Amino acid sequence: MSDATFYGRLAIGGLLVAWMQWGPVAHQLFGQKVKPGMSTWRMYYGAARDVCDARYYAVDQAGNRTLVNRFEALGYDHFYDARKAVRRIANRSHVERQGRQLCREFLPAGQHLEVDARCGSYKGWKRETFDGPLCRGSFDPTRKRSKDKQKGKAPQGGKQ
Amino acid sequence: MTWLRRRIMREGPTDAVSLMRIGMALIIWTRWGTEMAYYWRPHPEMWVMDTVFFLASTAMLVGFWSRTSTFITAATLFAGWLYFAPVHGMNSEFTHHHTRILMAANLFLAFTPCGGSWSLDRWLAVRKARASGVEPPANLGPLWATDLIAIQVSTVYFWSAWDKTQWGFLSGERIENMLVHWYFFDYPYWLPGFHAFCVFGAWFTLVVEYVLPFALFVPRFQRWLIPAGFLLHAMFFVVLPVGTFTCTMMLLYMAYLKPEQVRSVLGSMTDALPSS
Repeated sequence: MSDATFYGRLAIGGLLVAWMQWGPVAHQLFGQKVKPGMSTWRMYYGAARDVCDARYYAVDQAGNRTLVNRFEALGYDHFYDARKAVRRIANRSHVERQGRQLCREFLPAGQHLEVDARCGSYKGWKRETFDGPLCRGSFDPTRKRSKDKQKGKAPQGGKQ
Repeated sequence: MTWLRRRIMREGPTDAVSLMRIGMALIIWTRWGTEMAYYWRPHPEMWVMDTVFFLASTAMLVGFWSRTSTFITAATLFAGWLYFAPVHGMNSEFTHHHTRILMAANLFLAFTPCGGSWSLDRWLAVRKARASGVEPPANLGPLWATDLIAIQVSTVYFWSAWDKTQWGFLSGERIENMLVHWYFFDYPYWLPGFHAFCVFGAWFTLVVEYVLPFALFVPRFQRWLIPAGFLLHAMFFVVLPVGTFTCTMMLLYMAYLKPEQVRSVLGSMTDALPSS
């Protein structure tokens, strides 16, 4: 085989390898914006950021904190029975929204709800801080609940 | 330079690249068959692309004008990525990493003699030779582009590991994010060892992804690393939404193998060693 074949393959191969490396080197190493035709390999870079670990606490007037099982409080026996919007808390505003739902549909008047929350990010868990209680309980057991199932039990108190 | 020249000019059995062609055509149909169907996005430009795609990929699968059809299939996918994705809003179809590795490998495969075995091309060549009363041509061919496929797979591993080399991942928290996101919905404080498991998983993944891109090229490590890689990808397949990525990577591992080895294994399994 001739030199022309060798150098031809070398040139084509070299160009293709350069194209392969162009995206990751430019974007992942030097932080340039992704351009058309550029491949980057950031597997699961954006995945599972829309998730929060939220622990809700019912706080009574004496200041006792009780961990709330949010699924049980909203009327579900298991997490896998819960509606999608209830099951996974996606972000800070969702933490607040579900907190308000718990206040409305579970937490009796005279108690308030606090939350320890952290949400997913590229750098792992990012703590979310809230000023004061999320909301105050307004659940009236004599009133019929509208949205979720009606099995929630009021917290009995006790320290955590 | 001598080593490089020998590597680039090498010729060998075409079974591995031909099997990759068949496997890749099937994976391509699995990935894009629905989105390339005529009803999916009714538009004249799409219908043209759909027609070219299905004709080319069918020819690729059966091995008719193998290199050309493989190249045209790759070209339609690149057109999808570079034109149809931005213009027709087909981002989800073309911009994910599992689609890009498939496109790239498809393109590189077109530089290999991927119709040399297990193809209509081969059958026609044998028939023609027999009719002329001569020996069928050896199914050997230049395999320099096979290395491009292997380098692409290694590139994916290496840069993926590079992206994970940050504390968010190494602390196990990114894996926790994923497990809470898809499985637990609340952090499983009740599960002993959960955090330790995620930390171990993170470091293990990182080590594997840094080792595989280099060690897979070394034949004596392949006996252990290929099953380990298969196991890792199989696990990804069942626990994470990876789409066709697992099957693609498993198929492309063939690019690391010695083609003579592939032929020998096929021969021992089928009792019908392809002529060479």
